[in-house]
Parts: sequence; C-alpha cells; structure tokens
Amino acid sequence: MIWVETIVNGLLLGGLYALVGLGLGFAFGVMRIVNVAQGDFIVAAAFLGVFLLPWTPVHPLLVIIPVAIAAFGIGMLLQWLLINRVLGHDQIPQILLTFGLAIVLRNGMVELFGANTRSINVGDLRFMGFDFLGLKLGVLPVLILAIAVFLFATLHLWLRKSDMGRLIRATADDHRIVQLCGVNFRSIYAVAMGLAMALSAVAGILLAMRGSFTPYSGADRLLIAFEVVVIGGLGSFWGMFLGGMVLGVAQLVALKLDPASGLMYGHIVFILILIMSPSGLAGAFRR
Amino acid sequence: MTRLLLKRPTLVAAAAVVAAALVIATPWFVAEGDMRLMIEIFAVFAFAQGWNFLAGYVGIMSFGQQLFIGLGAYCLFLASNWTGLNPFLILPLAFVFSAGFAAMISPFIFRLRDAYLAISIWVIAEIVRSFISQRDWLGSVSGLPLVATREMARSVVATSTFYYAGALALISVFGLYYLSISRLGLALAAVRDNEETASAIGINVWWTRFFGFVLGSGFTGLAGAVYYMSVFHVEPGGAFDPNWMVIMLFIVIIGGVGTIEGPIIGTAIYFLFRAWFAGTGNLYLMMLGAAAVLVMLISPSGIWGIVKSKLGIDLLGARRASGLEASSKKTRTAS
Repeated sequence: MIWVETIVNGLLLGGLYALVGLGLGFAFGVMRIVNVAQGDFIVAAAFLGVFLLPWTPVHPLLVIIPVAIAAFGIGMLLQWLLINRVLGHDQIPQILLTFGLAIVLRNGMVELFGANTRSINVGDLRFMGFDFLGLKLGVLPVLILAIAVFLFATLHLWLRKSDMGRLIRATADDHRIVQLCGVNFRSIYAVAMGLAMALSAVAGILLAMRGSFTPYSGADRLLIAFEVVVIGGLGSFWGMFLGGMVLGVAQLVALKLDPASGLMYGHIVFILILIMSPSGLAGAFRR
Repeated sequence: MTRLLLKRPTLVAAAAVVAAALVIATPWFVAEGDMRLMIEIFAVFAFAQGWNFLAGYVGIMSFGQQLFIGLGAYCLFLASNWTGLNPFLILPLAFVFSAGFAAMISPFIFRLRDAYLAISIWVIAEIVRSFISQRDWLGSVSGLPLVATREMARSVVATSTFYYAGALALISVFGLYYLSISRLGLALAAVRDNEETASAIGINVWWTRFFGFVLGSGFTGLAGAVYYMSVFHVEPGGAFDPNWMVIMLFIVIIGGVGTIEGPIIGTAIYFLFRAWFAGTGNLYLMMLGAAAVLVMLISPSGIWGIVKSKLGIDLLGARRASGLEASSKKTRTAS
C-alpha cells in the first residue's frame, strides 16, 4: 500500500513537473527557441511570489495571478528587446543570449536575496490531507495537479479555438507565410514568449508552495523542464504531461529506495528513455 | 596576397617553434607562484578552446563540458592513487578515458539537436556528479587527494605541470590551426555549415561529428586532469561545477566563436576581470553573463570578429565561414 501511495504521490508531483516543462515546450513548439534562462525565471517568479504574498487578499494561492501577469509582461519584453534581435537560421546566438541572461539572473538573485532556502507559505493548506480509497493524500498536491491539468486543457483549447491561438499555430507552422499575410510574426513571438513565461511562473510559484527554493534552483528546474519536453517527444502537448508523470514517479520511488539520491534517478530515467526511444514516449506510442 | 597566403602555414610553424621555446624557457625566469597562475590560465584557455572547437568547428553545442573536466581529473587521480604510478606518465589515460566516455554517450545524445543536445550532456554531468558524491570509494562529497605528488619535490611538480599546461595551450592554438586546414578540418567545417551538402559530396556526417565530439571532449578531459593535478585535490562539486561552463562560454563568446584568436583575447579579458572584480563575488559572474548577452546583441562573432572585419587582419585564418574563403583555403591545402 505504501508503494501505491508513493506512485500516486509521484503522479501528483508529475503533474507539476509537466507544468514546469510546458512553458519551455510551448516556446520551442511555436518559435523553435529554447530559452535556457527559463529555469532561473521560474525561480525569479517564486521570489516575486514571496514578496507579493503579504499583499495578497483572500488566500495565498491567489498570488499566482499577479505573478503570472507580471511574467507575461516580462516575457513579451524579453522577446521584443532581446531575443527578436538575434533571430535567424542559426540557433546558437539565441541559446547563448539566454544562457548569459540566466547567469545574470541567478547571480543577481543571490546578490539581492542571499542564498537562503525559502518557500511560499500557504498556511494550513500545506498540511491538510484526506483519505482516498485508503490512501493518505495531501490537499495541496491534488490542488496543484488540478491546476496543471486545467492549464494544459485551457491552453490546448485556446490554441484550437481562439483567433490568437490560430495565429500562433500558423506562426509555428511557417512564420514567413504569416508575415506575408500581413501579421508581424515578431509580435506573435512576443505573445508566445509572454505566455510561456506566465506558464513557467505559475509552475515556479507552485513548486515554491510544495517545496522550497534557493536562487540556485534554476538549473534543476531547467533540467526538469527540458527532460519533460524531451521525454514527451519535443512539442507533443500531452506527451509532455506523460513525461512529467514519468519523472515524478521515478523521483519519488527512487527517493524511497535511496533517500540521498535527489534528482539523480530522474536524470537516469530520462537517459534510459532517450536510449530506448529517441523521439520520446509520444514517438514510441505513435510507432 | 596569394603568395602571403601560400606562405602562411610556414609562418605559423615558425610561430609555433618560437612559442614552444618560450614555454620551455619560462620556468627559469618565472617564480613558482606566477607559474601556478600561468598553469591555471593555460588550463582554462584549453577548456575554452575545447568548447570552441566543438561549437565553432564541429557544430555541437554542449552545456556539459564540465563533465569531461571532472572525468579527466577523476580518471587521473584514481589511476595514480590505485596503482601508485607517476601521474605525469599516465596523463594520456585521462584523454583516453574522457574520449571513450564521449564515444559511449554520443550514439544517444546525437539523437537530439541544438539546445537539447547541449542540455542532455549537462544532465549526464549531473548524473556523474551525484554518482561520485555518493560513493565512498570515489571520495564522496569531500573528494580525493593526489597521493603520488606528495613525495615529489615541489619544484619538479610545478615545472612538470607547467610544461603539460603549456603543451595544452600550444595544442589549443597550433594544433587547432593545423587540424582546421587538414582534411578532417574541412570535413568538419562542411558538416557544420550544411549537413545535406556535406553528405552529398561524400562526407559521412555522423562519423565526422562523432570524431569531432570525441576528440574535443578527450582534450577537455586531458586539460581537466592537468588543472586538477596543479591543485592536488579534486571534489565532485568543483570538478563538475556548471560554472566551468559559464567561464568557457564567456571566454569563447567574448572573443569570437569559431576563431582561434578569439578565445586568446577572451581568456585575457576573463583573467583581467577576475583580478579586478574577484572580491565582488556574484557581481563578477553577473558581469560575465551581461557581457555575453551584449556581445550576442552587438556582434555575435565576438571581439575578434569585429577586429577581423574592421582591420582586415586574419592571423590564423582558419575559419571558413563563406564559400569563397573555403574554396581559397582548399586550393591552398591542395597545393
């Protein structure tokens, strides 16, 4: 029974991991851009959450909303002011630019806030639990999974149904043709990057509510996001969800067996999947 | 102009001889403390040049080259401590081990491209780091000392390490030059610039990339072994530190990716920066990052790229960016 509980908890954590990967995967799917600074932006969002917490009315969980809006704006600015200037066939300038940004951000946060471990306090919610078919589950992890599923579904529907979603999908297919139709693809890119950052920010806040973070957590967050996207098969939407689940379960089961292992077994599972199925899990099922 | 071009490999050979003579003479004129700094400069330059080779010549971007720094160092330390052999004699083992490891992982990571390939190497570095941190026979978190050098005379150790580091620096400049005008160098450039065309003219794209990656990573491992030999102690947190990557990237980007001269300038700027701002801690890392962002916005080809286009100087002209330049180089190597 303890193992069933571990696996269920892994699935709950996996939903959050999937959300961590969603921003990176979405940006890659639309723009073929890999924002290496995403992990550090996730941590920055958590810091913003910590500071906005005292001013958040009703419930601490609502701090997600202002942080997501701020992240959307920052993402648009980032794309307009920096990444749009180095777009081109060669991906190296974009990747190196965001890598530089990541270094600035990480060390800036250490300088400003110190290297202490923090978390976002959600009050009693963190300790509340309930019994479900004999399993003891936390309310917060279940709530977080619900938020992750909701965001995946909403983004999916929004991309299918709305005008902006249609434009984004068209841009992902071929940004030059979108340009020919009189839409500046660079502004679409800015919107997409804003969205990617807002999604990452939500993931960052939720991670900080479930666990803890330091200014150095960005690297781990980036690796998780990246593994989720690759396991999911680069751009497959629900594949990413599956990827998160696989990582979450792998990590919690491994922590049960070897409490000092940290993220190591998650990394190993990722490499194993890469060896067995290079196009990710989604690719394995498609075949 | 043509005559000058024809003569260039000879001139470079002459420069190599002079540089080698300078390195050989240095221990007679330089104090031991300064020599230690020079070892560090040479080793870091070799790290940077190893990454530059991968990114600018092979076309593989990696965010995990600290993996090979650590592997090379651990291989040397363990082999020397277990067998009691002189570390200076078994140094080539670090190259063989790192290159072998690179060969082992490439079939899997080559399935990914660009940033995903870059980060997958980083993931492997993280796995190896946590693996070593948890194994007592590998020294766990606190690391390993290099036992064999304790009994040797200090000046002998310093001079020998200095010669190895000097050799690394010389290979990073002249070895890279001769490699880039060789058949393999041309094949690498062709694969980097356009894989379809390269395979159409009969180059085996996969094996060329594989060979480049293995060679570059083996060299980084060798440099890692030399670096840690000069500090006598290796621990997983330092050897597999992603900050190595930050330093390599900074040096190469500032100087100019895909040039031999660029990282020389980059290394000089890095060590000056470090000397001036060492006390400011994170501020100095922030400046490295900001400088990288600025260079990408202003001139992605780095400082040497600006010098080359403004002044028309091309000392070790090994970069074949345009087709015209490439064809002139090809006739030169053929003649």
